[in-house]
Amino acid sequence: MNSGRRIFGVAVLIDLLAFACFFGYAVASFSADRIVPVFALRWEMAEALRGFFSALAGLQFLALAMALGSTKGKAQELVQTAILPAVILSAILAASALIAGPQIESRQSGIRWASAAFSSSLSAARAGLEAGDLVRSREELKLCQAIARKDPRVVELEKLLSTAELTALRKSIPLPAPALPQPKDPIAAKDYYLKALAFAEKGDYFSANWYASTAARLDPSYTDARRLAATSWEELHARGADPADKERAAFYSRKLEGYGLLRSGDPVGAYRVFKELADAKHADDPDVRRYLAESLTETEKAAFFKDEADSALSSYLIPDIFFRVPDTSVRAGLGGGAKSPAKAASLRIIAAKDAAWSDGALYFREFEYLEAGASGPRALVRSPYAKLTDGKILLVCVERDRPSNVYKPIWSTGPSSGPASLVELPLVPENAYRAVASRVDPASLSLFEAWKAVDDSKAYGIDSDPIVADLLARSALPFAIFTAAALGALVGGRFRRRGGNFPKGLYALAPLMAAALVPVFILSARIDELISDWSIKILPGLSSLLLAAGIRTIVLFLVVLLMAGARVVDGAAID
Amino acid sequence: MKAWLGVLGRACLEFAIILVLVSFAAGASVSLAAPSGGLGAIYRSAAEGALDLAPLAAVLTVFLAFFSFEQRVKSRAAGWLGLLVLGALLLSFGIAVRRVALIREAVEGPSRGVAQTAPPFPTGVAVEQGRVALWIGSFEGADALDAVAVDFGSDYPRLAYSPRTGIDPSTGDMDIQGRTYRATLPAARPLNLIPEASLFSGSWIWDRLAAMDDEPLLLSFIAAGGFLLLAIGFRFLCRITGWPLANALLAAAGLAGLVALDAALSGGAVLGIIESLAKRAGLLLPKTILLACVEGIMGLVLGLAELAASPRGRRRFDE
Repeated sequence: MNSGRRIFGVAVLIDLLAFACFFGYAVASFSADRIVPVFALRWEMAEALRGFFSALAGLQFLALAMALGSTKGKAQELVQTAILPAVILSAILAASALIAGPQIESRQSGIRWASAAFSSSLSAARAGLEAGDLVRSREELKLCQAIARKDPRVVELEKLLSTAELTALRKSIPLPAPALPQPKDPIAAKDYYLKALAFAEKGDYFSANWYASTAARLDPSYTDARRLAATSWEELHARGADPADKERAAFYSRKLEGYGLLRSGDPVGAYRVFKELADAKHADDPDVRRYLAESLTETEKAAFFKDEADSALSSYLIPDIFFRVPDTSVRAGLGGGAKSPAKAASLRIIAAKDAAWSDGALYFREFEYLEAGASGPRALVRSPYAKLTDGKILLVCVERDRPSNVYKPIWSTGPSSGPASLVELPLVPENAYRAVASRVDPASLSLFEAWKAVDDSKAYGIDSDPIVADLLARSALPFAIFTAAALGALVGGRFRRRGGNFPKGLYALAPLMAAALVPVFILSARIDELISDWSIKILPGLSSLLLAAGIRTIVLFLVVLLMAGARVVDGAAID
Repeated sequence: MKAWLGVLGRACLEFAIILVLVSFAAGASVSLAAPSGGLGAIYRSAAEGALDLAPLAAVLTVFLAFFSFEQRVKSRAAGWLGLLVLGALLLSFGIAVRRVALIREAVEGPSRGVAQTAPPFPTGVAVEQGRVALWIGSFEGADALDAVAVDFGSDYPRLAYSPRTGIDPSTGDMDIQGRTYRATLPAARPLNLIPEASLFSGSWIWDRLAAMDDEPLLLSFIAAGGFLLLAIGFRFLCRITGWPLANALLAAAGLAGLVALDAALSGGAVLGIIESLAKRAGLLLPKTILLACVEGIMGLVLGLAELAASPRGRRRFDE
């Protein structure tokens, strides 16, 4: 076998063995307390690949050194035939590591977060069950089931909770709904009474009854209203009207209420009313259908639904959000809201407990927004949930199935302009996400995204050191692999066994050799880190990439020179 | 004799190259903590590093010379002697140069008295301090303008803002909405390339020798001599298997093992045991000498075992 094919063969063999070792370690070190078992295989594969890629330079060194160190022939020929396969192999491995690295990081982050959310919800569900808070327990269990339905802990808890819910249902006695006291309003009552009177005079006893009843509710001492309500009711009966008219009147009234809310600019309130009507067996009513759809459309423009936020926030989260809204006068092309000189000069800060990306939007939890100018704060608002879409942040969150549950913003100051349900800002969700992700988990961004994130983080007032350091680490990998390959070929060529056939039994030393290489590998990695740190210190920002690349190129060049120099020492074992 | 001298000469050249590389690596790591970066800081730190790390460069050279002597010098006793001479020469050089006042002043002068100052607090960038994010728009005299703080560890709402707040110049403390925050950055620290010393109660040989500048010269030579004998004792690694490549890698690991063994032996607990044993034997010697004796004996035993062991395997792979 020539040394070219031998290098490929040995490298593939060593890489496979190393991957198997990393995978074995990942399996052995797997803990169900840390990672949900349903992710076990994916986690172990990702962990093994991460370890494999991090040790790639060392493996490349070992492969080249072993391949050449066990080959017969003249040093010059060996090195010459080793160059091409070593370069091809190094290029393939470096490209694989650069492409797969961010995906592995991203996958691991997602699994880690989902497992943490699972554990937290499982504990909360158990606590809720023990405390008798079955509703909370059910909600938390639903989250666990969304992550790992077949997990034995979830199945067991489901049984316990179902039993507890059944028991509670059997024991429960329906309580009459308490009557809500009506606020007394004699003026409004009189207006309603006059309208009722007008309707009665026209012979519309249905409307007369409804208005008179409303007037009587608003002012119980209003005897005229009660009398009119009674007479109009008798008239309805006398005409053979269905007693269900009262129900229809209530339905009519609710429709009117919803319609009024929609027209007065409260689509969330309108959606709540029409959703209730639709749920109360009026879904076939054409008005209800029409206004429900209309209010839903309007709601989605001014607010968002909590299930969207929950879905996003139950996946991968970025914690501790803090960034500045970029100044549009400095940074063009962000799109979104209109450019305002007054706003451009102001300080605009966004803070949130955490954020998550989903379907082109960025969702925040425990959101806060500050806008301050020369005269002090112009706007200060907080909202339990917020959603950033192109050019605006929606602050009102509605529960889709229970529209009466609305999470509204609280404005301490402002709003300086526009509606209170949203803030118009020149923000692009994708850029904002990239900027915040670059601080917490830069390794999960693709190379292209990471490159763009350097500028984004600066524009958003986020420390760009983590993303630059990550880019430096990524750019170091190809150099490390090529340098290790060259060094491996050099060492293998120089320290090879001469004369006779190579005893196959010596390959058994491979694990020992790999272990012996560990201290050297660790020290080399630290020196590589030192080059990165020093480059950042000398030339902060993206320029440090050039400096580090320059230093590493010099190191690689020196190693190649050494490797080339090895050609002339054929004959001596070590010189 | 020619080969013997040739190996010695070549090893001295390797020592110079290794010392330069090691010094620059140490210089770069130390200069990370310097207030201002640049090549000047590296040169100064590298010059200091060259004085401190000469013993490390010497032992690296000795390990490389294992193979050169093994291949070039037929007599193993001559090889052993060559290593001893080489090590003694290089270590003595390192120890002696440290003690030349002119060199020490020239090397340490420029950096002496330079206080490590914390870098200035950046403006326009959120700075994380634990779970607190601190933002300062700009500085105006001793005041911070547009100061924003968010403590993510506290209850919601968390955002605090002050359009202008005074900063205590001595502590960096500032008040934002009734709570004190510290607008300072931690001083930069050097990157420790070999932090494993913390695993042992002892210290690295080069640190110990550097700390002996004010001790008698003979004591430094004894300490270095003991370590050198122990290092030469590891010579067996250069022909422990029939594959030179495996031997080279095992020797690299052996070097790490040697340094770690020395650090472990120099630790208080082990040294205490050695001292108590010596007292029982009636030897009332300083700890440094006791340690050197133990290391020297260990090295001699390993060396004798190697000499007495299998005949040279050089021919097996040098045919």
